Amino acid sequence: MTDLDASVVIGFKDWGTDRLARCVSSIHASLSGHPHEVIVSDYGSENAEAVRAAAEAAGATVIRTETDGTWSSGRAQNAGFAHATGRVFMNTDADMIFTPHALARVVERLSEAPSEAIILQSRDLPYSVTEQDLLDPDWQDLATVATVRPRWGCGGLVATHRDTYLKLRGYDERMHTYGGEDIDYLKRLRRSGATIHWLDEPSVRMYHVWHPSTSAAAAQDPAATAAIKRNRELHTNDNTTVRNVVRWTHRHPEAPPVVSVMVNCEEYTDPSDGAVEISTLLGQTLTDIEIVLVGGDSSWQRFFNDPRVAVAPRLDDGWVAAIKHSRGTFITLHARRQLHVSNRLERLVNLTSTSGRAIADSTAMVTRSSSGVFSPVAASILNTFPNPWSSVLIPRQNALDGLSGAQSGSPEDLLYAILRGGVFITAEEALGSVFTAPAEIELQQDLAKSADSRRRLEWGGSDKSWLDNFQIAGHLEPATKLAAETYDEQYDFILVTPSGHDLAVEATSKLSSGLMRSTLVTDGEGTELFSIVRHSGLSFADVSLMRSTRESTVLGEATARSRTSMATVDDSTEIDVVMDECSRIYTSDPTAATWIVVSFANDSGIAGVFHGLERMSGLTCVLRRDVIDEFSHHRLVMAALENKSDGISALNRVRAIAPAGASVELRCRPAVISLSQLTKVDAR
Amino acid sequence: MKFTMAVDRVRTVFHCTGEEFDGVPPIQRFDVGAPVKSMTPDRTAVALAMLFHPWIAGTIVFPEAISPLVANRITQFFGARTTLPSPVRGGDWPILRGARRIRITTPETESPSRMKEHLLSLTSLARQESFASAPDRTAIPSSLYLLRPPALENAHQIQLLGLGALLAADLQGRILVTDRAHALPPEVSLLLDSVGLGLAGA
Repeated sequence: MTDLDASVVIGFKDWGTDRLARCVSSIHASLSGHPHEVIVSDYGSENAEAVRAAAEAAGATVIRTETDGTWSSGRAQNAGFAHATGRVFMNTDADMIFTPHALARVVERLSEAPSEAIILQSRDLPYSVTEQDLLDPDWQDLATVATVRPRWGCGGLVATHRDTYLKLRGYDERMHTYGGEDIDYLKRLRRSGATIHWLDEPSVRMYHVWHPSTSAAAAQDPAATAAIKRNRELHTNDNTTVRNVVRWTHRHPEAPPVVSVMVNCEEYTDPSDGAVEISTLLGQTLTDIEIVLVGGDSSWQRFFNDPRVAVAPRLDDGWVAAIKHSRGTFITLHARRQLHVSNRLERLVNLTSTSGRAIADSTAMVTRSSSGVFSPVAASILNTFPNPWSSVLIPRQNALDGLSGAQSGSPEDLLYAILRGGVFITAEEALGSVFTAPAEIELQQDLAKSADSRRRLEWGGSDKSWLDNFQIAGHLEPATKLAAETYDEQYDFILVTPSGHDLAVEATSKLSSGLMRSTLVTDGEGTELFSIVRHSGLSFADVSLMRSTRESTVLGEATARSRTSMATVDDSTEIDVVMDECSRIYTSDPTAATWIVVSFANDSGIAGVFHGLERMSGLTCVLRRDVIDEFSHHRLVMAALENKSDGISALNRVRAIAPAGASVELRCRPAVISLSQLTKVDAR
Repeated sequence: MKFTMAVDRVRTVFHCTGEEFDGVPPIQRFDVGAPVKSMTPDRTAVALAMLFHPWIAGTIVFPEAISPLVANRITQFFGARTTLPSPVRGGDWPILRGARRIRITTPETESPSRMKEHLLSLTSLARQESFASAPDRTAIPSSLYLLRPPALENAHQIQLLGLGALLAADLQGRILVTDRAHALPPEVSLLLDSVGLGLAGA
């Protein structure tokens, strides 16, 4: 975030550069006195250069997104906001103009009431108002001839505090073509607690400049009609507040993770003791999560070697400090011996709705004998459950408020406080997590503790159906299977080691399971740069060993279960890894780096392309890389683009100089060193 | 936002239902661990407006009809955000009278009672199931701890005063005392004044 008061995003595609320039100028005048930025999000206009020239001449920044021609207002807004740095986020359309200081008043109002969503009522200008009239508008005349629109949808401008946008994760990127995304966004704003404030002051006016109706045009197109229908179904039937949870293409870099999972490290002797359980969190299909190791230190972070793992202070005063330390929109508390089904968090988040509602799933207890055999604990024995709090996903703010009223900072008191205060808990009956109890004595202790928790919750008059449904007999058998599978799970790994090929192989030679494929990356002249080691089918013990390999970077990890929905990792995985490593080393913003990658079948023509690229403008660096393993030899020349939006034109220029038989690709992907890396590789 | 109310032997419960422009509050049921006996429609409306004000926009439907003056003061209290309180009925309206200064505290701002002040300690239902009374102080639990607006200190002060306004008549209160009275906008004093309550700083 910068010191800007506001960021205004205009989603745009082929609607006339005069109109765009007029809108941008009007915004500048309307925000006069407040530091601000105007971002034109060009979502696939045919003449990108003309749009850029007009917008920049009017004082806007342009963010260009290449598309397949499909318009999506929501995605266009998100693409713009992904670069926004202001305190207030506003979006509007290119066919709007604003009275002087109108938007300044919006900014001031949001300073007074940051939890509001401000909307302006649109006033339609008639066809008779000409471009000439709008060059230096007589606002009094416009007020006289304009027609007020009814208060529905977003009017034409919606403004919120940036934190509100980030918490909602922007507009729903599933919606495209036309209509619905604004209504959906407003509904979600309300669910998040924001009031909808139609700011109505005589000096605050927004006018819609006449143009032929786009909705009428869309109605003539069967594909557009179908898309509009689908958008309507989404905003009618999807009651969640937070969207784009599994995939958010235009993610803002400061967006909070969807879920913070809190783990009390004092329950474990060392990181390896908690590794099986925490691996079931790292392998979740919902990847935008944070795992807060409470009381952990840097040795825990090194052990798990994943940027999503954070540490928080010890639980000296209950969970208050730890939850304050977390950033997720929702929180859940992990309990000792809990194993999470790989899609558990995704499913729980998809069942959330408004603030003041928490979601719980069912759990089952499984014991493990000394010989390693798993068996279920019968539901009749366990009418109770050791840690009911661990099954609940709670909006973070509810959790903090609950703790402020709780008797103590314990998780039992947290749960009691939110239930007693009126937060609803909805039980999801599907299997979500499994508890393993390694020894009978420990199990008995858990049950005694659990009975106590249950007495308190019942005394508080909570909805007992949630507790009663906690164990579902039919889930015991699959729960046993899950526990056994989790312990016997095989893992896949991608690891980058800078220590050279032989050392990389040596580092993994002690492994007792799995298949290894090692790839050497050189500079094209024989100098070894780093190695990419891809392992599949590792046992958990070997995964621990791999994690502790020094001076290496774990790029991806997946279990067989979390991999089921993905395609197979293909040969180009290594090229992606090379690109990400180079992005981290050679570019200022690895998350947005874009590369032109030329791949050669043999040595012919490499030098010519390399020197050609060195002379080409718009590139920040040109690299020569060989990616070699026993099955393949990729000869690459890679060039990083200075400006992502120049991608298509640069691609065409490189194609012109590349020899026949060489492939030229534009590659752009975030270099996230985490499990999401592998997901992205596979989803491509 | 539409409100309903129920009072039984041990507690007072309000429910709210959001309408088109309202935000959804963190809890839709507000629970007070005491049966509030001396309520008038005006006092109840003022209390509800103050308790739920961060989430109200547009029409407000109170449990019972209120006076035009209180309706007008509620509209003024919301300022730029358009609100329309209802139902409204003309005629003579009783104003509850008291004599005490009621000093409002919470577990976080707990302080000893002062001479000529009655201490109203607003506690949490998760710590205390029902109300407790002594000659110089009363502790009343509620679910207010879950109704906190995000990061707006004045907004929470207004909520505490709203709960104080609801309970004032049972405690023979006339003036609500709070540390932060000076920081609150004048519309808050005017709103309390419309139901016969004064506002003073500690």
